[in-house]
Amino acid sequence: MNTYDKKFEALANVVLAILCLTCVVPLLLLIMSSLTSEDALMHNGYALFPQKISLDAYHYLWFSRAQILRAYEMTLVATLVGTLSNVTLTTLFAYPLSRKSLPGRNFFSFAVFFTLLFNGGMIPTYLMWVQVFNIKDTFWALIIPNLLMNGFGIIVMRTYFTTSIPNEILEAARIDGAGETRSLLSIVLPLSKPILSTIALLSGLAYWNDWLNGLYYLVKRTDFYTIQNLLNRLIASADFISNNAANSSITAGLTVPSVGVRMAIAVIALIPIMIIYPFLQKGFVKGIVIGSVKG
Amino acid sequence: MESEKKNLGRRIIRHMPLYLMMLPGLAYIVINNYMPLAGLQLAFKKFKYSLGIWESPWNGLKNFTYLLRTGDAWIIIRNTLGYNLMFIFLGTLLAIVVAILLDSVQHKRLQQTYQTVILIPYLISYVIVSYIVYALLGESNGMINNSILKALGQQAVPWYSDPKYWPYILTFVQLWKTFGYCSIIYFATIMGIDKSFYEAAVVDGASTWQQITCITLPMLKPVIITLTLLSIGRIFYSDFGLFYQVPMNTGLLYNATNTIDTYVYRGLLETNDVGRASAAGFIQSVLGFLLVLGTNAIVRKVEKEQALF
Amino acid sequence: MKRILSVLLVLTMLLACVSVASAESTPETIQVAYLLAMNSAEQRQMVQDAVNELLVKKGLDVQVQFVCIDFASWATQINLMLTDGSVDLFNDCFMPTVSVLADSGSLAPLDDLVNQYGQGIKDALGDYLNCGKVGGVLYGTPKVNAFSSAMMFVMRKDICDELGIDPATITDFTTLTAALEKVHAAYPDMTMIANGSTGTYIDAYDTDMLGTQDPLGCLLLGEDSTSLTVQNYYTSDTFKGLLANVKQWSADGFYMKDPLNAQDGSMAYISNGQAFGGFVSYCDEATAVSVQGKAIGKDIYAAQITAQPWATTSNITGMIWCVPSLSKHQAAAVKFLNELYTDPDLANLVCNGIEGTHYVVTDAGNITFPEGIDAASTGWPSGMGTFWPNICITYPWSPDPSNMYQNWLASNETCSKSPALGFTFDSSSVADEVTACATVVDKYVPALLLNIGDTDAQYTSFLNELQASGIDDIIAAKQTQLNTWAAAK
Repeated sequence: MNTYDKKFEALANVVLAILCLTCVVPLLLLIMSSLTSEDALMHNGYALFPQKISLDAYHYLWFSRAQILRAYEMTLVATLVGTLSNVTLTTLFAYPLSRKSLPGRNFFSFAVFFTLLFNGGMIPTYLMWVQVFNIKDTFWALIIPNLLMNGFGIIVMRTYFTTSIPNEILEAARIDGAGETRSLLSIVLPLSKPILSTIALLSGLAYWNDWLNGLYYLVKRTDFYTIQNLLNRLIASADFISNNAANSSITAGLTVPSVGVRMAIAVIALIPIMIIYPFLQKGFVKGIVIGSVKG
Repeated sequence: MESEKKNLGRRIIRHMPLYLMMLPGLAYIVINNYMPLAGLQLAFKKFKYSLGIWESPWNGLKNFTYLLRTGDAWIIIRNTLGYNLMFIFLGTLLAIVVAILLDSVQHKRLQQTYQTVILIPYLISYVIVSYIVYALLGESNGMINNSILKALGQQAVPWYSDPKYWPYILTFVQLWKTFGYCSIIYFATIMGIDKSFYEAAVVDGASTWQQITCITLPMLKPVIITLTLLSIGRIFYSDFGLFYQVPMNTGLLYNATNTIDTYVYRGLLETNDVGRASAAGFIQSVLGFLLVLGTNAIVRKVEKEQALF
Repeated sequence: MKRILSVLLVLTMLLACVSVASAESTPETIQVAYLLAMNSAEQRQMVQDAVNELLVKKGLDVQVQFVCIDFASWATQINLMLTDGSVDLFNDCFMPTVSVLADSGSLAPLDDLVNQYGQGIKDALGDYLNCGKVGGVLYGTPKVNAFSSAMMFVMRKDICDELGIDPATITDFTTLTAALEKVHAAYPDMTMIANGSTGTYIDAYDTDMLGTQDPLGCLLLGEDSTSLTVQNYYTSDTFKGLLANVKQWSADGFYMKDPLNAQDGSMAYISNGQAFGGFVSYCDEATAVSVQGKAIGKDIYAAQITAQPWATTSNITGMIWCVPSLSKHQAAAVKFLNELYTDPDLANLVCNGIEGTHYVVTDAGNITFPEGIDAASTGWPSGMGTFWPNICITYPWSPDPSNMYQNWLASNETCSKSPALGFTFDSSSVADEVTACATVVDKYVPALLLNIGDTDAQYTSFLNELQASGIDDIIAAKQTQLNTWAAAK
């Protein structure tokens, strides 16, 4: 919108540019340390412009490239499937909650809020998913436990619906004979693009960053590991090789640039999402618009 | 009374489609969140793996006593609450400011770039954040001491051996890591505000500042209240990565970095005691829950519409 | 008629027996948790097939499936699998100690099973089997190893040779300090004593920690090797003596820069050339040189600093093989375990892989990689032998001498044994105090041992806070249990 003062916009640009810089500089430091030779790190310290570039860290990770690609594939699939399901479930739940006339609205809101504070703990949750739902070592372990819907998203979306969708429009639609499903699809959703893409983003980030589901539920099917699980394992192995005293011969002649490797692993986990994120976001918003028009 | 009941029945029937919409989500919440709550009883039990959750023997309040056994109980509670209050206050402020600034940028490409870049810190795990912080603050080879202070002819600062710096460092790191993420929701809400409000205001001669204080902030109020209430509910929790990994578990800094979660982690590292861990979680949840109930009641009194439930 | 009936009866009984027998002969498959460094799924399957083939050939009605878990996930995944019995045999490394696991009901008592199926385990371990007992009940079987350890200092051979330092002359902290001063003068930029992450570099020495992993209450073997009096390590002369040395080392500038922020293990710093040496614990100097030399990738010397190696329960816990209480195949697990302790073919398979594919035997009686394979490209990790129950019946890797493991076994016979060897403390009665003290130790000890800050004041408040956190209760509880154990012995 163009209602703000031009000067204010200029100021906003300056402040945001500075904030972005505080986000980018540590990232650069991360990338640079992953490229600095271990020697230079120790003797000259960390710097944005290292004196000696070394690709050792990436060379070490190159051995695992097949696994890394496979893990990326899993992460992408899990994130897409999970995010779509999450947004659908959250919307279907939040919309009724936003309707003031819904009997039991307060009770349901409370029930949702309660889940944000109390949880049963790791072992009870694990036992339930494994023994009742047999989820162990299946692809669904990456999607279903914990991430499919969360109370935070519901409450945020409900708040948006109550504040940003004027009740009069819904009333008018009802008088015109529109059912609840049609109101949701043709009136509410088109007005809710910002919150839909926000919930998608929150959920997408949660799937992308998650490693607990893989840790808890994938024991034999490590080929389902997501990139976060794999990178955790690579870090642990690198640590093992540089730390473990009791193993014989495995490390002979094999130097692991341990600090660099950890930095490189972080870079590898980070760069692709930075690249694909804008496309995902755009595509997602488009998808919702198309879907709602069709509905 | 009779008619009221009938009325309620009719209202429920009328809302049937809405209930049907909620059904899948409700089923998920019951399964994912409520069924495992049976595990809360472990806080009062001596968990025996061989007997399982239901058959394990009751233990009274024995699982709770270790939380107060330490001489540092006061420091730990002070740190947990103090940091959280700071994070809630400064974090909300920063997120709102960023959201308003983002909204004022006209150039779409630029806006999207900002939005993406400020999310970077959220994507970096705390283990890696701890390396970055060390790369900056390391006493002999960190960038600040090594490249900046040295060039200015200043003494190197022993960041990792003096707790007095850490309230600032931890607050900064936390804000840095989460501000982009937190501003997303505020930004979405601002995007959803009807543009005609602003246009009408401009016609009436409102300045930018007036538009922000008279339109944007009031429209954000429900979101601010909701998010703050949610944060208050978790005020007895602390991010383990931030308080354990970022200071690299340095003993000298415990006075500034020890929180309930790090104390529990350190204490149970060797015994992995399920009952005691549940007890800590239970008490953190209950206290947070009571606080939210209280705050929510106040909000309800002042403005019924804005209450969480 | 009666006759016909009885014949029929006998026939049905026979049939029943046959069907029972055939049911028994279908082998039970057990899940064995295996700590994985890096290997490929195909090669893992190869070794698993070879193991199962061997078991069939031996007529054992047990088949094995390896559950491979990496370091990052080990503790969490094993813990979860203990809750649903999806693993049948595991090693308690990186886990709470056996006494803690037993107290939480995670482990199956093994006395009867080992008596029935585990003669080989008993023979391989002798009295050391007692270290798997908690309160008189056997909950796990220690892996065969060199059980004793002394404090060693490992250091760069090239520098020692260059400066004419004979490691044999380094026998205690005083001679060590003198040698380090000499090296420091020649290499002022080099770290003399490397430390690992969060500043740790030297374990409590000459102590018996009574089956726990912390010295909060322990026997001071260096001061009185026969006494069964539990004492506070942190007020002992042993610890005070160490602190005095630490002051000297700090004044001499022996420590790393930013020691509290170290991100690697101490040996990694010797490996990358930044450090001269560091402390380790081993049964003898030759073993320290052999094991650490390969880990460091440089030629090293080792010098024993404490008077003699001690065998204590704590040395042995932490690498104990256990059967979960919820396992449905406990007998089969113990049968397989017994084979791991006794059958060299099986032990070589799990420790070293398949002969010809993962290793070849040399003329010297040790083993090495086949042509074209190295540590990075082998599919079955060569360095994980120490994980399995009995490495001492396998081939050592070149260049270790073929009799290295025999020397280990011999040292187990000759080493000094703590009077409390076999006793394991059950900490559940003082769990609150242990929890509180753990934080206090983490808070003070790393800085004290690196002489950072005002250590005299820190030491005083450290002792006060330990007192306030109930260290005396821990010591008293240990003493009571130890007395009961000694009386029953």
